[in-house]
Amino acid sequence: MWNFGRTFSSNCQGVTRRDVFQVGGLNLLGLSLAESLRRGAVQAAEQKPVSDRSCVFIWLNGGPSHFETFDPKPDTDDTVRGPYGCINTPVAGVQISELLPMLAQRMEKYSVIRSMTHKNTSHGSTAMLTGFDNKLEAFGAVVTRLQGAQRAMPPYVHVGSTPGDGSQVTSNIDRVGGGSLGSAYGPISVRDPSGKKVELPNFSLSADITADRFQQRQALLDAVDQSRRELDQSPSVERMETYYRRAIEMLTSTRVRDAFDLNREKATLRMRYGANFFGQACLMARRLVEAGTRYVQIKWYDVVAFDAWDCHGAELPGMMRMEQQLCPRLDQGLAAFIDDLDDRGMLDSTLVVVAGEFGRTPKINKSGARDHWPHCFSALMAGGGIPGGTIVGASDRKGAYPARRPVSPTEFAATIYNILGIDTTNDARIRPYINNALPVGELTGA
Amino acid sequence: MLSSLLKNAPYGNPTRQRGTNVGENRRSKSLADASGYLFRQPDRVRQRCLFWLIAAVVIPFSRTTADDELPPRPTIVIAFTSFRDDNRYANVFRYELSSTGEGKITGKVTPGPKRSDHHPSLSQDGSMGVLAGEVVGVVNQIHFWDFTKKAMVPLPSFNVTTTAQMAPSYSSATGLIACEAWNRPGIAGRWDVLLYDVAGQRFVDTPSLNSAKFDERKPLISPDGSWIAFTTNETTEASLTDIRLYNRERDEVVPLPELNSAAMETEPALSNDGRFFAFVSDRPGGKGVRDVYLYDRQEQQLLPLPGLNSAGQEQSPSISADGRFIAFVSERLDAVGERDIYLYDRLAQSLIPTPDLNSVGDEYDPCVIVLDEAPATTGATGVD
Repeated sequence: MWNFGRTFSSNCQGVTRRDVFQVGGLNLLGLSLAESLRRGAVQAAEQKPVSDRSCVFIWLNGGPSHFETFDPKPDTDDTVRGPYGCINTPVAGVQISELLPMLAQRMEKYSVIRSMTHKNTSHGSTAMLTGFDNKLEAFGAVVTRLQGAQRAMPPYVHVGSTPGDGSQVTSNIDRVGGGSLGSAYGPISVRDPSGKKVELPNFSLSADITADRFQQRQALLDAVDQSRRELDQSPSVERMETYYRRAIEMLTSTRVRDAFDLNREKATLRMRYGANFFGQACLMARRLVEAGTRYVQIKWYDVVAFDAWDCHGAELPGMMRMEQQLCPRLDQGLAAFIDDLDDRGMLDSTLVVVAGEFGRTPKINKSGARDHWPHCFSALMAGGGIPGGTIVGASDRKGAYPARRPVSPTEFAATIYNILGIDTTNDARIRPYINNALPVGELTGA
Repeated sequence: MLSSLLKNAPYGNPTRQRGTNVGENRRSKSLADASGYLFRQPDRVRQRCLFWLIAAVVIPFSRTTADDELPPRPTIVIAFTSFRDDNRYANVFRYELSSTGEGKITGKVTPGPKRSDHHPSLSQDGSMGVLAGEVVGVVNQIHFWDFTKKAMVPLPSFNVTTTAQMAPSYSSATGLIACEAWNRPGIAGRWDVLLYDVAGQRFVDTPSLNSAKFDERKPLISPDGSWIAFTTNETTEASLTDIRLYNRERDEVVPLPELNSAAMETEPALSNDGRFFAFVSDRPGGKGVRDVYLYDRQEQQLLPLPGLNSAGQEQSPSISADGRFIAFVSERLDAVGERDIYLYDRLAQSLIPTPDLNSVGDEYDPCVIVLDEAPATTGATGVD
């Protein structure tokens, strides 16, 4: 796994943690990407048709309440209905929470599955990231395995915290990545595209850079150059597979750096996405898929900073967080992201998926908030050619169980793979990752 | 005077009165002499002189900004919540901005283990603060902190409940705390607003404030204790969360139709007598998704806040008792952290620098007050 940006480790040159660009491990870690590139070439040689569709998977870490987002229940019992109103959308008869006014206006551009269901109440459930509760192969890894890289861009990028950067590994969900496919198919990881406010210090020299920081960055660039020189002078270079060189060239190329560099965007556009980690992560995702990355996974904030969707309590640990932080950031960032993709003609070629590990309990707890509930919850999909304004399935009156068309995590997985151009019916290679599940026909048209 | 200044925005460029003293007469005579001299010169010279004459007259007047006319800035205190010391459990801090612009943290509520504190509300002398605290595994409770003694003030009978109480607001003039409570047995159904008398150690009846069917939340009691603003999810055909005002004296809820819109209105804040009313709305026409608005209840109109809102999200306004200052939360690209607190001066129509207020951790839930005189606790104590 490659780590860019802010991490909790320091490299061999003593570069500060915020300036880490792990060139020190370039030769070793380069194997992963090189292998990925080689597999892509093999795959191309096998003449499997490859879709040019990309996917941005937005992982709402912590498990968002479906009641306070995409499946409000204003007319239910006093112990179930939340304190927020519902807002009309342009789709007749469809309402969502008043906390998402911008997304409500854009309902015709996305669809919602209101009947996702599984049985694991633990945050450690990997079901919504892999399709199975006990697998570790992320959708991005499978897509990378089957479709390889394109346009000389890293095929799979993860934005947000991951275990590999020194943070604590608490459950299987922290291990989701390449899984049994191997680290070759794990993501390149950008821990925090913001550092504080979405800056990749090692990719750009901003106007306010200090002399010390410039020297540190220069040291990084020198390290990259040294790596290149060593490669050029080594007798083994001639024998090295082209893929290693390509991997290093890819990761040190101006084009890749530029794709990660949000300072190349106008401040007005950055503000449209929201001046926070999530908004800027969405903007980075747009830049990456625009440049050719196949799969970008955005992980919402960490739990520890009380920024995740795991709202059990009162005040900021509860509904107040939904109202003041979570929903406003999701609303602004996702709406801007969908608009931007649409404006650039990229929405049809980019599948946007939004989901958490589960939903929240119908019954409001003693703190005035909700606990874990996997039996029925919502997921959102936009772009990738799916019809907008579609509501798939329905929850029952209390939002507790699917009342119509339950959708399992494997069906969810099959839908994503199918939209990304993988033949979920005839391609035997996809079978281990979906079993016999079929895509959701309302979304794929299958 | 301050009240009328605050009402009539924009406040800048007041007309300067002509003087009639000796100095003015001398200046007038000099100007007349200069004019005569000017008309005796050739055109080219006359044009140049005229240009400089106009410049000499206009420039000083154009520099007559609101700053020249503003009353001196008082000492300002902001209580707020932050993760600056601990990224797991939030703390409540007290910040003081001197009249000369120096700012520093002057207090911190010391929580028990594994407790997150939120939503502080200050007494008008800045020495006391009420806040909500949640220990892991225990429901949210209301606490009262003495910044002078650095100790909790007991609130017997307030927190005797198995359900959460949150979003407290304090009126030091009356010693009343307003808060919202979830499903408190025997008192409220769903979310209701409670009023507690600190000295009397009892809840105060507010018969008309709460409804059985809807949720009353986010109460803000005016510093003089006369009014309680709150949100309700009682909906008309086209409205979402709205703001209402409770008149304590008349035990009457005022609907505020001029303030509310078809969009969401929330997070109300009141000046001392409940005249100025800051709130948040995502109504169309704002600069960002959510903006801070100011309503003058006496004139029944929204007042402009030039320079306050951005294309980002503005939230959680707190207005000083005199109505001059508004502290609020915003997320901006050039900020210190993701969520920072900003301070707006309505007289200057601009943001005021607040050195050392914000950190790379989130700051939020501001409560702003103005000190006529710094209380004994401030300045000397430093950070607790």
